[in-house]
Amino acid sequence: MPSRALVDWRTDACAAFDEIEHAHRAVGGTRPGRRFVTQQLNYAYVTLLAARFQGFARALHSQTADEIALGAHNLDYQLLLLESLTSSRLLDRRNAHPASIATDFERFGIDVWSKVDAMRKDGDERRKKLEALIMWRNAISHHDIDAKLSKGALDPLSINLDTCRSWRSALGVLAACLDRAAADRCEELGLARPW
Amino acid sequence: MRDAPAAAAEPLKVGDKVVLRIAGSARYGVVVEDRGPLAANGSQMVAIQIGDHEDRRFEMRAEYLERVPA
Repeated sequence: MPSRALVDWRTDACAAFDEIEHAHRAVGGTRPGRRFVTQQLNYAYVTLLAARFQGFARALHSQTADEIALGAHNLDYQLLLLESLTSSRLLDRRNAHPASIATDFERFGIDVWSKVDAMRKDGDERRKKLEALIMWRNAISHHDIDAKLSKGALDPLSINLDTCRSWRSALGVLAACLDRAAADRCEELGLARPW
Repeated sequence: MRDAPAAAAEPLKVGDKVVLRIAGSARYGVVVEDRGPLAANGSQMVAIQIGDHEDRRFEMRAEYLERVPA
């Protein structure tokens, strides 16, 4: 049984992504204006992917912190641990950029991306996709796509449904690996495997 | 290990004022986010903020918090 964070990703989040895919199909055809509508759907898809992945990463961090705190030998120590492990996290106020995830998971004493890379090949490629997704998400949310394109700050230069699907697939693998890395860490700390 | 306090009868909600007691000290805060049943046994976790500073925000099991009457 995976973490609740991963279960939510695979059910609620993926159902939301599927709704965007259904909307894409619903505006199919060759009518003038279709391209504009589908591009807005792609932008919505990007924003949703970034938001849901941030939610997943935060929830996984919270669950891991709670499991580690439960291992403390008295309640006061539990409370202090839980507070310090979750206080002022980057994931509470920034996107789920790989660097933010690494910084917050360092509180558990792990280099989380090294762990993830050891599980599956092409981890670096998936992290680059996460970075690209977040750059695009910021450009969409701040309405400065053209300015960022002119500075060469967006890669790829355009997005379509296949781009979103590729990012979604990469995030799914990253989510599963992060979930396993967190559970492994609990075991390394002498706790029962939590999920 | 000391037993955890009994869970509040009603789930905490955003805006509830709460107190966290650790080792004889009391910290007063407000629930800023309901994180849902994320705790190990499926119980509620919430994000609370102490004072006016967003930096002083952290997460806690709801069962460890006492609701402060309005």
